[in-house]
Amino acid sequence: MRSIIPIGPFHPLQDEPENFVLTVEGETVVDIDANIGYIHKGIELLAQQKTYDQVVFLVERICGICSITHTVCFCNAVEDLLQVDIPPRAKYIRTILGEIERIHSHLLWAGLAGHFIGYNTIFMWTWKYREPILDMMEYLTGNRQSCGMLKVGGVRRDLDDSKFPELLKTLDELEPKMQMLAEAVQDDPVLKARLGGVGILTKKDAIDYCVVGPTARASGIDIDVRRDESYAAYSDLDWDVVLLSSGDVYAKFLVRVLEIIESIKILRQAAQKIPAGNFLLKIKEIPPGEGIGRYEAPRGEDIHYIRSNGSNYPERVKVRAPSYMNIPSFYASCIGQQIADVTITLASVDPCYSCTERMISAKDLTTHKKWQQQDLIKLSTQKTLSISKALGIEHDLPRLRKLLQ
Amino acid sequence: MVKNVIENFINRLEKEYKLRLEHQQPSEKRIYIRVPREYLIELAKIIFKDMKAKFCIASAIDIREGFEVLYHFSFDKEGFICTLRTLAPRDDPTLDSLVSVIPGTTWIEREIYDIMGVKFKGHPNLKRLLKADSLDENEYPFRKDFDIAKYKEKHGIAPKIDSSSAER
Repeated sequence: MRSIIPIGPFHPLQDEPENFVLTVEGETVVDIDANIGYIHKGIELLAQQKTYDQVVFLVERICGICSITHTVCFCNAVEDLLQVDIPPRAKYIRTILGEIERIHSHLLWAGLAGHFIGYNTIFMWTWKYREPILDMMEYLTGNRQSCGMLKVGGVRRDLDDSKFPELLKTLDELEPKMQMLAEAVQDDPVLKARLGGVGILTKKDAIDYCVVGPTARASGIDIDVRRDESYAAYSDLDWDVVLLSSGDVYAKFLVRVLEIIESIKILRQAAQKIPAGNFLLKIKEIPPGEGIGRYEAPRGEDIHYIRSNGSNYPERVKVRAPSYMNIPSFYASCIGQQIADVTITLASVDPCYSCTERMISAKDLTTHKKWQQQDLIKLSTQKTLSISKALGIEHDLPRLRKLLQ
Repeated sequence: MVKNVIENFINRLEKEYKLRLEHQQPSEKRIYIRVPREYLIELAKIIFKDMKAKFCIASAIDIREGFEVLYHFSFDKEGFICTLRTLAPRDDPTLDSLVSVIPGTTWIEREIYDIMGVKFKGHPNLKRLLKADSLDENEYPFRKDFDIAKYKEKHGIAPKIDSSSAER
């Protein structure tokens, strides 16, 4: 029996409303098609009608979670066009803001991923840990999200040096909890059985579909723009690229948790090493030419292409967010999966969650039964429960719960 | 050091593959190569398959001579970006599709077809990707001759929602 299950266009797993059409045979997915464009905001066209200073604010609003990502990436592109080197203090400030963003983005994803497989303890605790990080962003910049700090040639406002001890204190509190989460994820047999071998993206498929970021690093591709392009202050700091090879959802989960620990390491060094001095370069005019900016967003490589005609307005701004390359990899990773695993496989590349509308419906063509989002999550949770019963272990990370009390 | 890497790359293209291509290098980490559209697929194959570069994205721009499509490839180990610059003339806006070489170009070719009207020969599923349904198939908003005033006159400032389709 072949039936078609549409997921979306409004769905909590996608950054934009997207429509996935799954063709299933019994429980197995045999085909997948994706439709996008429901929230096309025309930002690229709009950017051609704004000055370079205004475009910085415009690209900040591409995504709620990646507000630092797109602004730094745009500034990198214009600075590549101008061939200027920004002051070291500005580089460190960009590093600090970017890493804070990475931590809260990964924590958000880990929580939602936990929720989709029925591990609500992970969901509750990671979102609780996320709060102090967002508060720290507000303490440093004045806003939890979209802080308007970036400007071509440096940063718009300086950070107060007297605020860094508080940042270090927050990191000290966060680090043992993240170590514990990493250990709990690696030790828990149910989690390993539930996520291991699910939604495998092989290295060959990952290269062919040109995926980026944690999705690529979980499939054994050694790329990280922070190291390869060495923008901002990353080349001065001591940190490692997290690399795993199995390519399943479990590896993607683990890569993100381990990356949080690396980010804490980067932040701690940056807060101690940040030099004093000027934080903004004066840019007089933008000559004709073209520039490419790259940035390692929490979800992968972000890239902006800019062409200037010498006027105050850019001729063309091309924005490519990481999910644009990661989402088509579903064509390779979803086919052959069970419906119960599709929810977590679709979520595993972390398509970002700026949309607040939450609706999912699935229609069985033969019985006209409509499946809601709760039904799909219930299917996913039931699978976790049956695995934990088979293994004879209480599910929902008993070890983590015990450690946290 | 990176500069040498780019020189090596150009030398390799010239010596090993006998390709003499017009190129410009604005900075240490960027190189732009102009390639006639007949050789695009051949060069993409060399860069993607033999030299193991990663395809980043393609950008399309409306310029005086036609539609310029730029394919950005990143060499992650060497740390530079190579951009292939191709031109699809205005009277015949077609290019060879790279999907057979790089499956990751599926969406971006559909997007460029949708917003700029460049047709990709050999694409397995060349249909619209992003554009609103209120725009016709042959209205391309990223072309310089797209008349926004005319569009607003025809559709109003916000496109009308068809109530019969909303109920469905």
